[in-house]
Amino acid sequence: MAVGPYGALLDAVRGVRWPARRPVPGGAPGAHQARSRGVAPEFAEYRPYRQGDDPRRLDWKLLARSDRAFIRLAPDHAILGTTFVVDASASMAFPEATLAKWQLAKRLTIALAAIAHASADPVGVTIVAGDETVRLEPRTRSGVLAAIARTLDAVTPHGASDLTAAITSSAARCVVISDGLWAPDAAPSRSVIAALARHRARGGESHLLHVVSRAELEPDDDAIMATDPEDARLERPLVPETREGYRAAFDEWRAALASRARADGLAYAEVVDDAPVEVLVRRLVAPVGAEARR
Amino acid sequence: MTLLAPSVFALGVALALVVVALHFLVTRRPPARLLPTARFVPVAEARAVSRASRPSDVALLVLRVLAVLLIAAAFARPIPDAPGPTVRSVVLVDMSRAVADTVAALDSARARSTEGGALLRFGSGDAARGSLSAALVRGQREAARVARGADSVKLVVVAPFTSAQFDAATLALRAAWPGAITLVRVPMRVDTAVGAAAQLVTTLADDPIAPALRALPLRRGAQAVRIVRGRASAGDSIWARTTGGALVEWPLSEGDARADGVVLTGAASRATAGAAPATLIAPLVRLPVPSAGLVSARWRDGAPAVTEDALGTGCIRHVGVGLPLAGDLTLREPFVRFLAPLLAPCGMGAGTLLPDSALTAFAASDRAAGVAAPLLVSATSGETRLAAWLLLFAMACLLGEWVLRARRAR
Repeated sequence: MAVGPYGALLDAVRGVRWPARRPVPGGAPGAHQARSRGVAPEFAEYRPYRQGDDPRRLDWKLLARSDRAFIRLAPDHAILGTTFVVDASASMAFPEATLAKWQLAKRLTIALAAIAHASADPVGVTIVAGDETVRLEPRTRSGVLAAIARTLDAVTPHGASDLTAAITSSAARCVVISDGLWAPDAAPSRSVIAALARHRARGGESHLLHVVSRAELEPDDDAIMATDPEDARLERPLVPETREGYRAAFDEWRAALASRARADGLAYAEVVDDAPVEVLVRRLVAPVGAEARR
Repeated sequence: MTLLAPSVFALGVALALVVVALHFLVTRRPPARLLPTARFVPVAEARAVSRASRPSDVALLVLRVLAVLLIAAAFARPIPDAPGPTVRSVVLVDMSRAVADTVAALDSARARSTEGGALLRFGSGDAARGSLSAALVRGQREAARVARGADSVKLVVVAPFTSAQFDAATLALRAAWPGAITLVRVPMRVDTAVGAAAQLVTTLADDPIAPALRALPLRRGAQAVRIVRGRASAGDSIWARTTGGALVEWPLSEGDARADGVVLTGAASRATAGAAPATLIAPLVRLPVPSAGLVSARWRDGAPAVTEDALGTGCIRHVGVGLPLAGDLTLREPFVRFLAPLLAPCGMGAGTLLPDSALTAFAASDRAAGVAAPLLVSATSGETRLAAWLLLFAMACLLGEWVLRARRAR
């Protein structure tokens, strides 16, 4: 499977599992614990009755035919379709020289998609770049990772993206990978976090991976006229006198975003573009004890 | 180019230095750079003053400095420089009847005139003498005009320099000229004709003046003098106008006699310091005389007693001293001394020649002969033209600066 320059990354995340945070709706057999109990709609296998088994699980017809006690084993794990909603707005193309934020978003998408795909979960991607939306429906075919990689590599971040529409049509697990710099004047009900919260309320699993650049956290000491790539009218002088105020405002905003996301039950994680993707991925997929047992 | 007000230009230079210094202090707008989190940067002033190692915008700097210097030069009263050391002469030549040979005097004056200078005549041919005061006024005005384009200006006066040519203003006008004056003395005209003394036209059989007239010696150089003891007639006026004689109008006394004194004064009084003026103290009647004209005798209280006016080629002398009809006043020596100048030719004679010592003092030869041209030049059209050109160039520089700034702003 040709996945371009991501071969080493895929090798690094081989064997990593990404369990669902809560039981998934029943469906095709998969790696995630299903919500359904009792008689399964599908028969998996027989097992001889052992002391302690629930007698209600005996296959009485087989007992009548063969005079031997067996119990029916039903599948209690199902698949969890995963869709990655990737923000490809102009703010993701930063820093200009390396596009580190966009590179991190792509690599996270591919790595997590590979992990999900390895568990037989259907994976798909929706890339929103300005007014354009590129969608790959969740699939389990073997070539889906390569297709996702090609699709991501073909996109150049630009414009201002509205991710909310992509979230409402996503699969059971929705992972939004974005820098959070959405339109500041958007109504709270139309925000990405609200959309993710609604998705979770419908039974889905919502993840928000907040991509931040080191250059945004710790800008250079050079005095610059900071210009918003998505709004050319917004220019602010980042000079020694305003640097402290910038850091404080940015930190406060990040804390508020994290707090709001967690309060709405989202799986929130802030990822910095200079961190190794392999390490980030393992942190992101680590099960949360309370969520897993719910 | 010479600046008459260099301090103004110095101020302009100081201002230009300030402009240069300001171009090393620049308010920079930081370079624009993309930052997705720009919305979190506090709103602040986008410019900051900093010191640059090199002046910003050299073209604008040059235009501004040039404009400042040109404006300063325009207001510093510039005058164009002469191509080389130039001394010009203003020559004043007396052409009055006091000069024995006016042609020779004119030649002498021409010999002393210079290219670019001026040759001025004073004292017209029919004047008894030339007034040095009037000549000095004209000469100084002309000197201010010829000073443009010259390094210095000299003043030369060609005249007989008699006491009669001086008046109360002469010395003050001389002092107004800051340098020495070259004085060229020409011979004074002396009338060698020996003729009878004055004619006496009187209605009195025993006019008291007659004996005094007979007592006077024959005068050499005396023009014809007619004394009219009453109002002068038209014929008398015609005589004076046509012959150049001196008509003395000396009315007979009427009114109460009052003891009073008459002091013989006149233009000669200063030049002849040391000589005692003629004084007549007697019961004299004060008669009215015209206030205009040359005053040659005054009463003790300063009122004019004898005045003289030009009358064609001659003159009319009004005597306001009423004599007693009886008595021996007119036989006394003081009266004869008083009478003699009244019978002098028009202009009270040419006066006496000024002594050489007085001339030297008047010339003030210890001062520099030439007066530096900038001291004489006043606001003239030449200076104004040069200042106007400088202002025009300054306006052009300012226009260029504005255009350049407008282009940079776009």
